[in-house]
Amino acid sequence: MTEKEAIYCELLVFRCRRGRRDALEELVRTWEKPLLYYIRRYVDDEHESLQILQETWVKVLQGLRKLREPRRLPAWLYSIARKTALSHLRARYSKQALFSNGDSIGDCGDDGGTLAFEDAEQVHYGLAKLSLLHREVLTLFFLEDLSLEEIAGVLEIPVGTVKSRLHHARRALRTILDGEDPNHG
Amino acid sequence: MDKPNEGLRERLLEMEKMDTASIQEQIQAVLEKRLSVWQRVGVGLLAGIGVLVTLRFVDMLGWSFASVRLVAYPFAWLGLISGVAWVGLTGYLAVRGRLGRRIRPWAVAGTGGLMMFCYVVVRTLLLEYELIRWVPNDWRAKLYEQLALAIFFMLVLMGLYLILRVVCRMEFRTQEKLLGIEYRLAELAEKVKGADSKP
Repeated sequence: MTEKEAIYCELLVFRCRRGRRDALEELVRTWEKPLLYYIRRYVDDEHESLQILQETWVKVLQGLRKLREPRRLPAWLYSIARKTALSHLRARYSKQALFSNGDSIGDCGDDGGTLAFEDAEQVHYGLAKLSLLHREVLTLFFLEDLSLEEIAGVLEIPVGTVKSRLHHARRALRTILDGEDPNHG
Repeated sequence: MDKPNEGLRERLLEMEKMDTASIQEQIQAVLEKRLSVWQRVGVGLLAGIGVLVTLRFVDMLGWSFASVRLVAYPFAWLGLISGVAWVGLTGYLAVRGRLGRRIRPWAVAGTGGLMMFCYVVVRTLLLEYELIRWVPNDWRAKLYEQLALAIFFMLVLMGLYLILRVVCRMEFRTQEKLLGIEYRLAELAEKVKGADSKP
């Protein structure tokens, strides 16, 4: 996040804390799409994801006054969205089942670390095929709102783990995209 | 770690079909607090109390406050106006059952507080006035002194509240303006940096 974006976040939080309605609407308008996109990567059902989004906003509005570092607003928002989505999923599956790695990392191959993804449609399709463990880290990376440190904070893992997980996730995504044609999938 | 390709974020967000109308509806629901039936009944009762207090103010305006009229009448008028506003706000809230969008909690609390403050002031003045009327002359000076003290206390209380409110608002505004300036400076720095990097 640039300095300008960080100040924007602080200003927005400050205005929201003052109870400015336009600021609250701006907050929602700015983040509703990325948050819903992120939540949809956890939950397939549209109705349920909207419900999770609503719960997320309720928690955000309740906790906004207690937010200690307003400049870290995006990380905080994603963190709340993740926790809310996971609590919904946990009601159905165990944590182990949730984060079981469906993709075999060892089979992903190596392309020298130059994994560029240009086709949004393919990436969108490929993300759905990844394991939740890879999907969540890659979604946060593609949404570009957070630094690696912030992604680590959201996922509650060390930065080193984020880096390695991201590396494996990108390779897994490349393998999926190389192996399947989304237009026929 | 490499950054994803330029514009991929926006293209990805476009990939997700979003029912914006439904989202907006949900957001409105979050921003507005829906009152339960019992809460609406409670607010309705508060509106009823407001009607009684407002009628009392109307009645008070017909009284002769004699020597305290210069202080009592303005407070009685202010009380009447805030009473009407209070009845309007709480009545609308009880009927509509939603708090947040058009009616803010601070507006309801502030109007109610002002109404009750005016009521207490006028009642205190009246009590003192009645006491003055019935006591012997040599006690009157002391009661006048008490009355002046009571008025002074009420005015100081109100003034203190207003000053604190103004100071708080000014502090918030200054802080907001400073952040705004900081934001514009960062924006400018980014533009200069961008211009410098161009060949």
